[in-house]
Amino acid sequence: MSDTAGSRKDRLLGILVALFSLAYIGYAASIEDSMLADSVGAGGVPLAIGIALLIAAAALAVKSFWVKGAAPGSGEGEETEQAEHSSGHVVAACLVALLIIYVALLPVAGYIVSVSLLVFAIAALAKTPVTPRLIVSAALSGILLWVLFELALGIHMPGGIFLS
Amino acid sequence: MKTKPVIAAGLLGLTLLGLLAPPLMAQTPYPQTRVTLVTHSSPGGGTDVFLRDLTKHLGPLMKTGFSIENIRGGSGASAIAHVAAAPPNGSMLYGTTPTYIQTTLLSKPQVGYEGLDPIVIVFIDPEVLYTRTESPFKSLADVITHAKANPGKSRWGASNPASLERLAMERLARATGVRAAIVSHEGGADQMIGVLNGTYDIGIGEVQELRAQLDAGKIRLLATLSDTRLAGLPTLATAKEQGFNVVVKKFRGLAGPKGMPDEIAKAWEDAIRKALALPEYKAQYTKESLIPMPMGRAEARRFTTEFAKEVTVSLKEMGVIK
Amino acid sequence: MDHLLQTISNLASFWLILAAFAGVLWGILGGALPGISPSIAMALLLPFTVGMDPTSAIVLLASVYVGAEYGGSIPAILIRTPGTNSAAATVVDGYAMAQQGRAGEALGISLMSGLWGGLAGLLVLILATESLAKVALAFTPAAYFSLGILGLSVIAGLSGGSLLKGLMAALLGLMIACVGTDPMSGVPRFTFGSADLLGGVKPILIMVGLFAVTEMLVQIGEPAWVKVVKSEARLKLPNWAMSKRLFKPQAIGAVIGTIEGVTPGAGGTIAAFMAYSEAKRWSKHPEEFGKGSPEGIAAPESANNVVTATALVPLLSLGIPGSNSAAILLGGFLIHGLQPGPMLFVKAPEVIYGLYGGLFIANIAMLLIGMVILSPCIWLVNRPKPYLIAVILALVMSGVYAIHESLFELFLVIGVGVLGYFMRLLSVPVLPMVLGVVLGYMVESNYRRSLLISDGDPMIFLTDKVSLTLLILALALTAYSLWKEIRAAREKQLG
Repeated sequence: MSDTAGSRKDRLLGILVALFSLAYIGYAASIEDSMLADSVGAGGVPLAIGIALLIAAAALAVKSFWVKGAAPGSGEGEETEQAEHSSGHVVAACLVALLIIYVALLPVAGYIVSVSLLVFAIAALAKTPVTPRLIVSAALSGILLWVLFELALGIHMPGGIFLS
Repeated sequence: MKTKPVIAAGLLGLTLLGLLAPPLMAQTPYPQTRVTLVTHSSPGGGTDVFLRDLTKHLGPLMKTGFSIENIRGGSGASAIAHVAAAPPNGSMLYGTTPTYIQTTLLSKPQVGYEGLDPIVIVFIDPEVLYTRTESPFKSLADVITHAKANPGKSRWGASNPASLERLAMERLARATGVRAAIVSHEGGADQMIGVLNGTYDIGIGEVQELRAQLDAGKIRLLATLSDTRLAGLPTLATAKEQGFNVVVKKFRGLAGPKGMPDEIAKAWEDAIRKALALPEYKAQYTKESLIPMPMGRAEARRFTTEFAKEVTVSLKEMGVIK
Repeated sequence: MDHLLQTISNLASFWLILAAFAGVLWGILGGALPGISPSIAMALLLPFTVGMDPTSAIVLLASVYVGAEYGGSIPAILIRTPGTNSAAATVVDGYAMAQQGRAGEALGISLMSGLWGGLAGLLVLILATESLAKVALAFTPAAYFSLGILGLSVIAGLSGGSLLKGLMAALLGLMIACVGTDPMSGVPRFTFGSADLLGGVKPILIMVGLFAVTEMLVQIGEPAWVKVVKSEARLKLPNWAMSKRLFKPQAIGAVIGTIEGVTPGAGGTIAAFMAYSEAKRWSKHPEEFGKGSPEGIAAPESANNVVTATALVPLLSLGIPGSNSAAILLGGFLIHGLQPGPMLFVKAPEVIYGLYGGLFIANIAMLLIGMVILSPCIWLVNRPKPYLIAVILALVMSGVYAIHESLFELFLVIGVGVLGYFMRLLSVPVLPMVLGVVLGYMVESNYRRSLLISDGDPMIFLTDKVSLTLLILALALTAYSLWKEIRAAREKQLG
């Protein structure tokens, strides 16, 4: 079962990467050189890497048709199966969305507020019941990390509208 | 962690000593009690060290406190944008080097060097050409003669691509009509090894970078690419004297947000001129072979525009930008 | 011998000891925070060394480097996030051991390997600086290219099963390394007009994304929270039997770390990867690698700590900083009016012997401080998992922000994390990709420099003796790996 799933995945990967490398080769070929360039040129090495990737991806796709039995990389099957739960993908996507919101919020709300909200939201996403304890922990995390970076390390974190 | 306050206290003590030093002359105090100087260089990097040294001497003169802020990223673009958005009251300035013009020309960020107003120019950091002691070259002319006699066999080192140093090497090759392979590096370390082990005929760098090998007698300086000879190395001839008209003006100065009042710009110009005359500072920058070139706002603006024009022409000639 | 005696006489100075301990503590903290690289940790302290006496100042900075290289392994083992570039190879087996509840043991191995590595490197530094400086000087661009190729030849050992996918990942890594200003002609490549990309993509961003963010994306999606493994709450130093087993990987790490340390530009990250791969190759239990092998921690961790000492060789003997950290240390020397280089041994020998003594104390300090702080660290990662995921992500994002104070890089790290998630779904190994990112610049720029020097003649890679030696070595290692791969595949088919 898992073997055929593995080779199907390899085929998909091979085709996707091959398409990507074609686009990459196109871009690399269009890099214009300056008079400072050497004979290889700015696009030379990327072009070679792109072609190598195209060959490797094509080989993987072909191999997936050819070797039906033992799929390469099946040793890691256990790990992949865990991540295959579609609910897992949804939660992961939510987490990505939270992180993006965090970065967008950072310059506006400032470091402490953004980090506290991030910690709160991620913990809630991971199905922690929303209790006063969670709220306090989240706020404390924001303050502690701010103390660590801003005061101890002396790195300027964004103050946002509250601290400027 | 525990040690930091201890060291910090020591530093604070030093700063206080500096602030308490008797004022050298009576003048209207600078309108800001705290001035932030922003640099794109990391702590310990070229501009960072320049600003720290400068403010050590400016503090007592301007009777104000200084802090240095390192805003890295975007090859200087982030720092420029940060300063451009600051109020034009003299509380925040940017430490300029040719990098801020180069970055603007190469990557066209939203806020470029034109977004800032040059306030002062302080130094020119001269570039010198060097070779290893074992090499047969005694002067720049030897190098060029060799290159002409052996076309395609000469190899010259240079630092970062599209840097002033690289452009200077290209100009030298063009002006003399020789075909030499000019090889870029990231910074000066690899280039230095290449010169020391004979991979390259010559290299280019600032005196400070070469100091160790110079003291040990491992390298020989061939020419300085400055307008005049260097006070610290009076016997080293300029390239111009040797008949090769290549001059690099790697400047160090300050720029601020647009709309800064005249009296603030004047205060800076006065303070810089006085600081440069301090014997203690003079001894230090002479040893580092920095050439003092104090310019006020009007002059600095002209210089910067002129400089940007020259670099633009060079970069266009080389086809790096359109 | 004289050097050694001079060094020992310096051990007693109180200020030196204080500087070494303070530096190591600061370094471990900085190293353990992802994003704060050893050079940033050193740079943060640099302004504070102005008022100190020169020897203590240099020892303080060098000790930060020692501490940071060790500190980087703590999050690598505990939360699958390399705190420093050179801890990336430690992630694989370190985190695997932590997941089996053997975090204390893994941290103990890393601590002892770091200690032996640091001391071995120091011995090399004291006894062989002059002869090693010659090695550094023998490196031409062609030799650097071949050194990079040798580094890439370990891809097979990092691919975990599928060589083809490992190759694809490495090529992707090389592509990322091509982003930014072209090393020869200065034109921007793959920057899409953004000034943020002009300086290239820092390897640490790729590592934090691929390791930490990806891991958290996977962890949060795991349906059941019951699978929490309680780690031993205490640090466990390796016993005699384990120490004997670790000797070989540590020795491999020491040798590779010495070579990579003295060649400017190579550095701890490549040393760690190569040591990992070679330790696996020569191990009696190669099958354990990737599943929590103690040897898989010992080799890279001793290698990157050897580098903390041997990276000083080109700086002290030639005045040439071979890495960012060495450049900061150079700044430290210059602030005190000292110029590292051939004349330093004549002009200020007391600083050099003080530095040697300080480095020795720093390594001892690393052991002592490590023993004290590791147990709380283990306690921290045994908190409830939702909190842990939240706080790790907050910490990682803060560390990344601290590098350049750039929001763009935060978005980049999130993007790389998503890429890593898909790579994991499709069973593509990530280590070769990291290797590609780390080595790309070195390989490409020196390839092109060499051809420029030889006027386009590729024979330069074979006529340069150092280059030829390295290429033969790379070829031999690759052939050996391929042969093993083919043999394993055939056995699989038969069985």
